[in-house]
Amino acid sequence: MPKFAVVERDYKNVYEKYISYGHLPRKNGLGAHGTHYDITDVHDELVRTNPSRTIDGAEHLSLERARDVANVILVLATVTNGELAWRSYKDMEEKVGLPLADLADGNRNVRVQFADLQAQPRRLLNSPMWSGLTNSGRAYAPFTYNRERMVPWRTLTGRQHLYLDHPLYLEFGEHVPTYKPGPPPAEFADLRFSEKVGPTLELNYLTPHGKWHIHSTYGENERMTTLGRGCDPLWMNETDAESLDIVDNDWVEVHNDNGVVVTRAVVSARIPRGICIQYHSPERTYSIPKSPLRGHKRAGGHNSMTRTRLKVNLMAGGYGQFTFHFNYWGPTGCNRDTQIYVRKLPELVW
Amino acid sequence: MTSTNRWIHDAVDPKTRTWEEFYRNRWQFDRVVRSTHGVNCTGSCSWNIHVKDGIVTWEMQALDYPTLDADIPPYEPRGCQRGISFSWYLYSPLRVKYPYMRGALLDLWRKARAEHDDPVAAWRSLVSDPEKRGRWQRARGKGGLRRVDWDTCLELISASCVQTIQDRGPDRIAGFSPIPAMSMISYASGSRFLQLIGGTSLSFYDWYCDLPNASPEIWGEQTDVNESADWFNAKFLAVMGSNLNMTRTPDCHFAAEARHNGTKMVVFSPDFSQVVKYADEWIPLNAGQDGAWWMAVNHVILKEFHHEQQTAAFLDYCRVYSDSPFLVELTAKDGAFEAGQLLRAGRLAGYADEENGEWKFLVCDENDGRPKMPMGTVGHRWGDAKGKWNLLPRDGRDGSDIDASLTFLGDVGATARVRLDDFAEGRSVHRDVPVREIELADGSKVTVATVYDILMAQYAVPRDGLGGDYPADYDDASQSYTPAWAERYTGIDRKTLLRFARQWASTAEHTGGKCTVIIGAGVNHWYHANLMYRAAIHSMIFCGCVGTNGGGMAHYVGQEKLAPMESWSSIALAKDWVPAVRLQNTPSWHYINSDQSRYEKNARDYHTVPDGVTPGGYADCHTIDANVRAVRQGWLPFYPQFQKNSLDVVAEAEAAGATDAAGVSKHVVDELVARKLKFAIEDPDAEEAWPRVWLIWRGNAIMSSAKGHEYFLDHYLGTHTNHISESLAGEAVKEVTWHEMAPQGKLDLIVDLNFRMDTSALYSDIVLPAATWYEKDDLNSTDMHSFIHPLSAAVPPCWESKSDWDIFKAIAKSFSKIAAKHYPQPVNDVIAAPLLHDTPAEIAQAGL
Ligand code: SF4
Repeated sequence: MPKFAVVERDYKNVYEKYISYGHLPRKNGLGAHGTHYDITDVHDELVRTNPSRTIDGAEHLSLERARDVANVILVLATVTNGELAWRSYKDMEEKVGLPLADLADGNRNVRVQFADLQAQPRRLLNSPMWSGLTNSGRAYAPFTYNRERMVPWRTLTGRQHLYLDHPLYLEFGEHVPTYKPGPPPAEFADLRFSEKVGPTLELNYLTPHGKWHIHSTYGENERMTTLGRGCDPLWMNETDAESLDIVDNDWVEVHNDNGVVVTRAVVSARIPRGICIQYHSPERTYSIPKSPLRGHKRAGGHNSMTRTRLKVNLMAGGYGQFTFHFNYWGPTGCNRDTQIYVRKLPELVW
Repeated sequence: MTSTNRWIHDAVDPKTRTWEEFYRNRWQFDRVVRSTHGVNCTGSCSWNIHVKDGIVTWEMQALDYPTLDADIPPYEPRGCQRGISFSWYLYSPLRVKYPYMRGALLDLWRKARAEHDDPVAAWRSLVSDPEKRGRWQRARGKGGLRRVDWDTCLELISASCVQTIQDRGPDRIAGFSPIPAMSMISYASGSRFLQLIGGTSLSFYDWYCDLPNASPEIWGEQTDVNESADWFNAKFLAVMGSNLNMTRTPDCHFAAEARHNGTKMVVFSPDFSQVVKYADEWIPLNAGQDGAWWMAVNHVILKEFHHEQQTAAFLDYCRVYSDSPFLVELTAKDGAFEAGQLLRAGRLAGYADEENGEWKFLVCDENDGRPKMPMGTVGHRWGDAKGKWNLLPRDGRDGSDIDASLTFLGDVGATARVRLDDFAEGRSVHRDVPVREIELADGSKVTVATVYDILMAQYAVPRDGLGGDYPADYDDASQSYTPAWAERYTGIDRKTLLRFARQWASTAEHTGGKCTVIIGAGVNHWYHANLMYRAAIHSMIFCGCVGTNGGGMAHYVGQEKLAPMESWSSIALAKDWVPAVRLQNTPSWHYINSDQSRYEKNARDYHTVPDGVTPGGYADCHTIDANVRAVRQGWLPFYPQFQKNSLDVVAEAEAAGATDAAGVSKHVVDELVARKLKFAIEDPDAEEAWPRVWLIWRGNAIMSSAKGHEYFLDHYLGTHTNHISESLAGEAVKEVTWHEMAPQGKLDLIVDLNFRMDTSALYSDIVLPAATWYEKDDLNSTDMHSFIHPLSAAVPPCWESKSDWDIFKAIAKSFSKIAAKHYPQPVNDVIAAPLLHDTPAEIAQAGL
């Protein structure tokens, strides 16, 4: 069963609460990844020195301006307030039973605020919520804290887990490291309803990060469309292309059950046979012609080719490291096993 | 005059060079302000934004990161060809300058407002009329956005939220915004608003498939990686699925500098990718076969460096820092043994009364062969007795030293023949494993082996005295995971693999573990990525590379590292006011709500599982059924949570006599057990269960981030689509109510905050003009480096745009005003939340 919690919704005061920092952290302390520290004194000092608001007679830190929010975040976090990092190590010492707070000794008087960052970026301080150590200009490498200070990993045995004994992993044969073949295209059902019309190849469709955009941002701006081909082309192998009578910069139609993409081909020997690459992400705002195969509706982007499948054993819960945490655990939206058909575009219609 | 003469003339008479003034003017500025790009590039580079007459004219790399240790080259210069083009956006034709609303909706809204004084009643009149609702839904993505004033937008959004809360429940209001680290205050705006009203925040890192599941599997850690400067400390870099100069542009120089410093670099990539130019060796593995490669590398490492050479540093590391010595219970089944769960300390007489004995585990001591219970396990973490959660090799009971046995090979000579899966060939193999028998508190005996010995069998390392399906030698391709076996999958010659494995392990041996795998989306986005990553990580645990500078698994995909997490999350999730939150794993949410689950059958059709799995069990069902069970077991969240409005559920509980939270919880559990109350996930296509309002900010939820985009258009948006799939799942699903016709257009309203008119904006009902990264104050951190820096308002937000923080502030204000009439008093809401990591719920369920 899930756990059930009852909370109060005070809908007419949502705005007041949005712009004021509530008192629960002052009462309960802060922490993350299993750490904990008290903020009462620092909080109260901030209330005196920073903008604040009164609600029902109580003083609250103001969150009205983004800059105020930034200062509350910075002054109450361990990576930017060395005293709080020291406190958090002290708390961890009790759990672990070993000395740790010396890791923050040199940082106790370091406190960073927004204006400091505007003057120059600042290095993050050692904190028990992260596993790397950065004293004296040391480069951050993960798990040096665990290895050097004998602090357990947050797992079942506290050690690094080579063996995964959750009953679901046993059921799926993934309790031991193993090799599983990728999902077979026929059963993966990307091509169950699609038809080959004219000379067509089936390829594995990969959508890596590109050169002329970050995801789709920048891709459509003047400089980037000039530097790239003005669209997100489909990179394919020269022999594969030749078999479809495609030469570089020809238009191609890429389709499967999930949707359709129409773009130009980049024919290159650097791509092996059997796979194709469309760097992500196209935008529907530029360079997307219509698709003859789908009733001359406008074609789509790289996610027109994808459909979500979840890997079931990644749903395991309530068991050591197999316990849910937002963005931390659970099945993922994988997309690399996608298969498509590609053909030369018979006519270009905008 | 010849052209040469003219040049000389210009030089001696500068007055004629007035044309140069154009360039001087272009690069003049009145002020310089520091900012960066909040774009999930993971780069996080500090930029100086130059402003002239209130206009951003250009940006330049700030070049002032503090230096690290003197032995490491500086971070500078950071930046990329994309980032330096950002200022173009502020004044570009793509900029969203004003609020926009879909014309079809605006006309209906104005009419409804004329008929209804109360905006909530006006909104209700529209969404309860399928014909009207369909009008603006079908118009999505077909143009027709009209410029409108802020107040109209704010009122409509607020009315839709209040109506949804009243009629359906607050968890039908969902929000998507990715990667807080890239502009954490902007992320916090919408999620703070959502959590204050009881809405659903959607995850991103797992949805993007950037979460490497092997990291939580092995380390209990989302992702924690080397900053890029630490590549310089590595002596061997293996780069796979990561195209450094293309996508890690500001950091790539560390790889080049490491090479100048003598580091070897091998690139694995099926295509001749850009980063290959830095490599000493390019190994063009077949696409998606990285797992096969590392499995065979591990075979070689274990055989030569562990078994034959007994490399002390490697064995000691595994003994202390991995679960290698822990005891696994073997059970007899069909004439062979199966490896099962770890043996629990509480089952032994000596530890029977131990606190959390089911969550403490055992090793055998090398000196006397007796089982002992090391400190530092999850049972110690969540016990009342503090101070024993550490890795010192001591018994948690009596404090005695432990010298844990890695292997039982050769001590008493007992072996058990263990069945293992060979998924590539679709068969079982049987291999001998050294075992011992241990007496339990009830007098019975169990057969146990160490994790290490089971891995030796799984990696098919032949050892004297062990019979069964072990390979004869490296050239035996009949058994996984020999170098000859790997050839079939990777396409790479066995000699290359052997050379790599030996160099990898001997580099680690001679440098104290300075081998790093730089890895990314190219590997992580496969269905079985967890297995590929896990195999690569094993190579580094076997060689003691994890937890040292210059060593370990350096996974870079999303800008997931939000450094000041503690205080930020108290604001972003409104935990300063509300102690419980609705956080949804997005892969499940979209798989189910956008009906992508309907287009496949039993997951076993494509996921290879062992023969003889429980029929109808997790490994033999439709994925949606597994997800329903996972929600019922408290493994995963799912919102909307009930078919009924969660506010009504509390009211009913209170009417039935519940006076406190415990009473309400009991009522809810009773109703669920009696099947009078249903989870929404049990009938996600019923109208009552649909998500209704979708708020999108800082992201491109309907294109770049929309896996199954065409299904979104169909089932969420109710507009034109290019998918041609037909529902296939009818016969396979057992746990959910099946509807022959899939719903189209589940969403009443889609709101997008954006500074670009991108695909998500084109398909939304309301587009609100957001400030760019040069027009707002914010914070930014990354895992590529260890600095935190700001985004700052170099100029105020242009046209009618506002920062995300100010937009949600305005929405909150308008919402509160409208809500005052409908909710003059506070009401109670019940939140169903899954069992959570880093809480005592980690020891909630020892079995299924
Ligand atoms: S890598 Fe650096 S310069 Fe490039 S977009 Fe990201 S922050 Fe900007």
